[in-house]
Amino acid sequence: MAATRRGFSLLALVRWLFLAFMLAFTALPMIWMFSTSIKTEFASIQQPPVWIPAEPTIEQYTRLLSPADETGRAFLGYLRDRTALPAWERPNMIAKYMVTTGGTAMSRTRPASSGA
Amino acid sequence: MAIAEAPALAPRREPIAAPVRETLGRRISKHWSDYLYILPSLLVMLLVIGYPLVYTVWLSFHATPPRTGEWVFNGVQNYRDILSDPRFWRTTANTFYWTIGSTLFAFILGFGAALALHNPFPGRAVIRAILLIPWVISAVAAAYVWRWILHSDYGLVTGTLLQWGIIDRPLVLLDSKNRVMPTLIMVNVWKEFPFVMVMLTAGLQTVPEGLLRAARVDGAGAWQQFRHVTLPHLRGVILITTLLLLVINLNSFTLVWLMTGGGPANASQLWITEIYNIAFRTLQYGLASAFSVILFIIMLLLGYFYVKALTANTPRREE
Repeated sequence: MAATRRGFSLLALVRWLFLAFMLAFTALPMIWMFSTSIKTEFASIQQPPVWIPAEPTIEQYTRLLSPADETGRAFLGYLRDRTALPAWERPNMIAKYMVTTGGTAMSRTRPASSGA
Repeated sequence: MAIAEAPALAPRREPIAAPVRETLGRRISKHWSDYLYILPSLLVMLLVIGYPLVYTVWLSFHATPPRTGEWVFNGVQNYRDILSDPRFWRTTANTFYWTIGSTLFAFILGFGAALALHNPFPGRAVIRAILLIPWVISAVAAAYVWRWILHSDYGLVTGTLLQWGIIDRPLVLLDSKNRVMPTLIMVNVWKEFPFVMVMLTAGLQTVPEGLLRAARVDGAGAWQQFRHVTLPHLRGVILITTLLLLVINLNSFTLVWLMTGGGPANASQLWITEIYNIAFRTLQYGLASAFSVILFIIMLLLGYFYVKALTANTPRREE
């Protein structure tokens, strides 16, 4: 019984270690991306790397969202094109129509061409 | 004959009429409404898959010199050129290395995560949501984040390892011929393992709790339950997931192209990036088409054998 309990606790330990590794592996790049986004250009290439900048800034965000800035104009233009309803809804509508009709037929029966 | 040889006192049997086998036309007419439903999809597929396919095959038998822009029929010369080029075989080796490495590790990590998150505990939903992030993030964003992290001069990895004194000079990963493939595979695994996790989490929900309970009553330990109950139930999901991963990885382009462009010195050149190079950098569309057809045949064979293995023990469903 003791062995079983020990076995289970070992399994739990392995499970938590694995989850901790997976969380670090998954989240660290995202956290680093966010950390870089609140740094100045100069601070972002500083070595050794700093996770929490001493002077966080929203400079990169304002630049990206400012129509006065060249990068901002490009980004906002891209955002406008991507979110314009007719541009993305048309292929979506076609795909939905195809999937609905095809899926309905497939769920009803096997076509004769499948040799059933 | 059998009736004539039967004993005299045996009850008389009426000859049984052989079942009439339905003709293809009859079966099609029986399901005409279903075909009508599929028709729009079939038409669109014919347009967007059938036409490019036929066009590519036809183009692969032509030389397309970029200067003149004309098509000159040259038989199977493009195929000969590709198969006799050592670069093709190097690219093939890279592609298999990439595909098998990515699929294997994405599967191990994804399966592990699905198992670790199967039983409920506080915070499980949050952890699952965090683990899903790489899957939903765009491949372009992922490629640039990782390029920045792995940068040999300003990257997080080099900086941290130097700071901790583990290395004494910048760590070159993406610019090293020997390290570039394992590094790219690691990034690809980061991007893909959540897909495996989602698929196998869904599969794990279908394992009957009653069977696991019965196994426990019979004295089966955790490993035996997993080996003899869980794993057999997941067989179909595992095969489908692996097949999808293999196809996705064989067709990989974005991550590799944005992180290394196939370099350094073609050390990370894959089939698709090579086809892109031939077609859009050297403008040899005929050659690129022949390469694509070879790749298509290889993929078709792989898919065929895999699906055959997948359906080997599946009973055929009656109509």
